[in-house]
Amino acid sequence: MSLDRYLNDAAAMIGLEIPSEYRDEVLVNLERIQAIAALLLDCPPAAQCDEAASVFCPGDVE
Amino acid sequence: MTVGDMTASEMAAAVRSGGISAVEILNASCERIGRVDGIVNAFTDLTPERAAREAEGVDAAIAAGRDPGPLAGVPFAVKNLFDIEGLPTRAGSKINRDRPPAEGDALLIRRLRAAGAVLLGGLNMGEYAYDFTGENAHDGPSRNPHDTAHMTGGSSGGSGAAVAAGMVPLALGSDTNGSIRVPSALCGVFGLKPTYGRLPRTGTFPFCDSLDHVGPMARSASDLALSFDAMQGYEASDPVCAKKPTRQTVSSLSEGANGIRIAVAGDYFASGGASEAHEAVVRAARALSVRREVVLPEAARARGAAFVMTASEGGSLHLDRLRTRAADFDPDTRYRFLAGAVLPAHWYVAAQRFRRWFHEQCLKLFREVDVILAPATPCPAPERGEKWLTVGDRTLPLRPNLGVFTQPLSFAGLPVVVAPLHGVARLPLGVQVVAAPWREDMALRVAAELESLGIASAPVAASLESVIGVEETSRNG
Repeated sequence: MSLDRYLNDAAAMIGLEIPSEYRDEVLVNLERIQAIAALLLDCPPAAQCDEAASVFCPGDVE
Repeated sequence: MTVGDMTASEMAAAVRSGGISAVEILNASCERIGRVDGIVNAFTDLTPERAAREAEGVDAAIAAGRDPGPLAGVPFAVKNLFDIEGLPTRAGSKINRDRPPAEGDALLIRRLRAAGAVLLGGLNMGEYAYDFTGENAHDGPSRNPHDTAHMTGGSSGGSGAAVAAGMVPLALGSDTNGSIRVPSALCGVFGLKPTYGRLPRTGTFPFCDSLDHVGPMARSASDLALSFDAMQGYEASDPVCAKKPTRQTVSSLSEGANGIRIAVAGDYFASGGASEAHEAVVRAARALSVRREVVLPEAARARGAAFVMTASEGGSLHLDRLRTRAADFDPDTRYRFLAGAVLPAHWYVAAQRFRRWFHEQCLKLFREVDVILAPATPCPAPERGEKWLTVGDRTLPLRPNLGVFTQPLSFAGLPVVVAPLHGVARLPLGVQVVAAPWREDMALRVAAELESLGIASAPVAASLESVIGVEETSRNG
């Protein structure tokens, strides 16, 4: 899927209108994040954990 | 020595001993702000009336024989994402100005007040803290007191400028990916980003909850320690704030770096910046007789993961505002927030999973060493308006890359003190002094050692005086 189409579909899914005059700049930024995310998603198995860092703590009743 | 040249510790000592009153210090600070702030644009809100009441309260306590607190009479100011009673918490934005005034002060303001400090106002910042430059389309850029044609760094740009210009000796900032450390380095002041979860963020406007920290900026390591000690303590209303015993830092500062195992960060942190940025680390390491080098594995991926988490959480936080008031965002944040709002959940979860692994590697490293030195920024302060960073034969977008050395460290939640170095380049640079989680004391001790060795310092920007002179001459015709 092209980034352009992804932006259309993902924005529509969450009810976010991207005005046409913003579109090019948003795509530039999306592309930048995608390039950085690729490094993360290519992570070797040795550098992965199955569980996320953030842990929800249910807490106690006072 | 003028009041503007005094550190917070010197001011508090003078007030406590009766050498000068809190009101006299406040008046000198207000006079300095009146002369300087039009040039550096650090303050967005001034609160002189309440400051006068607070200073009078400190003097009254002393007159009555009561302890006025360790920060007696010290004027301070806060990045304008901290709630200040009676003011809307603008967080650098136009949109937030429509919010009702804050009903009370942020918790850290209250804690500093309880220690005798005097609040003088709110400080300029990059919009919603999504910034490394100190530029702001709504309030204008904060300007670097060492050369006003240059950036302060951000997003706590007003905090760096206010301290470096001698308007206040102490300011609070926030740091999600480097927003205390970058302006501390570029403005040549000391800054502390504590361990994630150490200081409560209650009463501050968030950016990226998983990475948001708050902390002090000042002109000496002992001022950081003094204010940090006054601000520590568990607070249930910030779910991230850790229920851990406080670790007082002032009392151990005099031990210096004695017995602390220090190494320099290699690999990722040893290249990618201008030669002066790396030279600053070499100078600090040489002064401390450090020869060991360690590697934080996968630091580039850590930075990438922090980048994804920030974009995603930031976009989500502002989704309603992006739907209804996108045109009111600063153009320099608008497009990044819009892009962040549509990121796939898988990327975000992958970043959180990688965070756990990276954090475990950092903990392993800190079994071998106590403190790691790394550059704070890839370059000294760029000119205002600059959009690109050139290092060697590579040209990169400036805005995201000013935080290239700070982002991996906050991603792991490690405490970091920025020690400012003057004289390596024409404008100041910083060295990050990184410690194991909850060991702010060690980072502060090493920063204090660099200060006592004459390597790190944070003088009030001397070049500002010539700018003030030109402005006053032109005003007087």
